[in-house]
Amino acid sequence: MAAALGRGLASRQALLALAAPVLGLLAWHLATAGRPYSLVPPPWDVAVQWWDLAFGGVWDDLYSATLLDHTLASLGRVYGGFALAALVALPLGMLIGRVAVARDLLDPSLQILRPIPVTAWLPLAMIVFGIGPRSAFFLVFLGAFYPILLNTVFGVQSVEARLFEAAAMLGVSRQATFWKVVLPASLPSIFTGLRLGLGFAWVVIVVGEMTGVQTGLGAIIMEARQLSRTEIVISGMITIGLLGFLSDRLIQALGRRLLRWSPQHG
Amino acid sequence: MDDLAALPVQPATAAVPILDIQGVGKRFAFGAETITALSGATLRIPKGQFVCLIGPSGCGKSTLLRMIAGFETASEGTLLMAGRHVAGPGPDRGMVFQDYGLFPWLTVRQNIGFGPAARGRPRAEVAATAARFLEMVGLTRFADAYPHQLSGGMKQRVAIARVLANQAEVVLMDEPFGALDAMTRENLQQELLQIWESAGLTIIFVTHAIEEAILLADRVVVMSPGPGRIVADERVPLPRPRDPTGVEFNALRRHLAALLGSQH
Ligand SMILES: Nc1ncnc2c1ncn2[C@@H]1O[C@H](COP(=O)(O)OP(=O)(O)OP(=O)(O)O)[C@@H](O)[C@H]1O
Ligand SMILES: [Mg+2]
Repeated sequence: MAAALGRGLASRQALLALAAPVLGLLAWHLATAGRPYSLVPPPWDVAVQWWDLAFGGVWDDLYSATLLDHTLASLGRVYGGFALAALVALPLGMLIGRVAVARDLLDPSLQILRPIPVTAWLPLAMIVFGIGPRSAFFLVFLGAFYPILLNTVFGVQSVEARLFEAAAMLGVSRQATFWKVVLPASLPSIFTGLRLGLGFAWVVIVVGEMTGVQTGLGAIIMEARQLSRTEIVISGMITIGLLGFLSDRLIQALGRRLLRWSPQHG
Repeated sequence: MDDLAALPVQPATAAVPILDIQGVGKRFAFGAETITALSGATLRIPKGQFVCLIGPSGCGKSTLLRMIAGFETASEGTLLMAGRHVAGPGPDRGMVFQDYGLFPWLTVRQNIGFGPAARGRPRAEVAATAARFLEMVGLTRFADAYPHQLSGGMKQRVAIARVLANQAEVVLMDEPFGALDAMTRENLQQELLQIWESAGLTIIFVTHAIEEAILLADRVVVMSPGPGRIVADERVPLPRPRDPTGVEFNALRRHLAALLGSQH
């Protein structure tokens, strides 16, 4: 009975979640179909273009069946930049959060750099790293860096004092406290930082790839705009949206496994 | 300084009380002011005694307990545990917090085995110890639950088992049953007495409730605020199990109530 009710609820939820995109598609279709001078192509044309981009066999032009290459290039930059950001931001955040000297030394500088939007770094990145994938990689790194850093600092700083007392009276040495208490207690925050960071990485990748990169989803979007191939622009956007969504789902599933103990995540 | 603190100040003979508290006081800086939370507290507690601390809010009960635990340093006086200066928290003195202080990322079993595991005991021994104390506090069925899945009374049981599994000699309890309903509290009181008797523990138990103190303790220490100090130290000569409706029980209750009441 309860299970049936649960299934009923789940399908109701799925139905509601689908309602908005279906209505959106319908509106899009009605607004664009059969108007040759519309700036935005109708959904069906985009779907055909996406298919050609992914598998070929429709237009058989320069773009046919190239989606996988572009996707892999973007994925590499997103996850590479994200991984590098995590590699730097996690230990740095733990240091800043727990060691007063590190905090006094680094925190002011990082706070001043933080309000500079990632996009404002683009020209400098192009000067330093040249026009090419390295600039994109750097921007992704930067975009993912701050959410991870700030949440890690917050996490390791907001460990309940009671837990330190509990560990101390159970015989945990001062050196072991970090691994036994600080790290596990701050995992939920760290995890939130990683999730936000990965989200930002997907936002920034497009900007990063819009300048002089040959492959990547951002690159074809930009290139297709110049060629007025709006179907490709929208296909690229949809692909990025789907990948970002899947990527977030993946990290969320990982979090649910690791943070089963946390009432907010479990 | 540390070396000095590690030296036994007295030979550890049977005559040495497990806890020797001599003229201990605590002052807190509160902005520009200094608050005297406790002054001149003297208590000698022999091994195996069950001591209750009672007194109105703010009289320094928690402060005294936290100094014994080693979480706070005394501003005056000496605090000896088994003849040695208390220099910080240690596994010989286990604390049961009112808010439990369980590790939320560990299961009940892991929380109970935390102390032995943290001190590098072999895995099999940790598992056996955890199983034994899970059984003792009746939580075997919930061994793999996380703290947020437990009721308050269950969490308090885990907190007690965690300290016992760590082989603490002195168990410090700061209003451990304050947040529990009457039924759960009575059950836990009985369980605690059983564990205390079978394990030969020394317990210092802070409570607001006179009745709870008389029900549990060998000895009730009455404290008073402004500044916090010890005003009375009464033995409870009643055999266990104690009957809260008995004549002697109520005579003692009135006596302690008068002691507490006369403070205002
Ligand atoms: N960390 C602190 N900083 C400043 N003052 C403190 C601190 N801890 C305790 N005090 C003060 O010391 C006094 C005694 O506090 P304590 O917590 O020991 O009282 P208590 O007897 O446990 O009270 P309660 O029954 O309400 O728990 C209080 O006046 C309190 O304000
Ligand atoms: Mg208190």
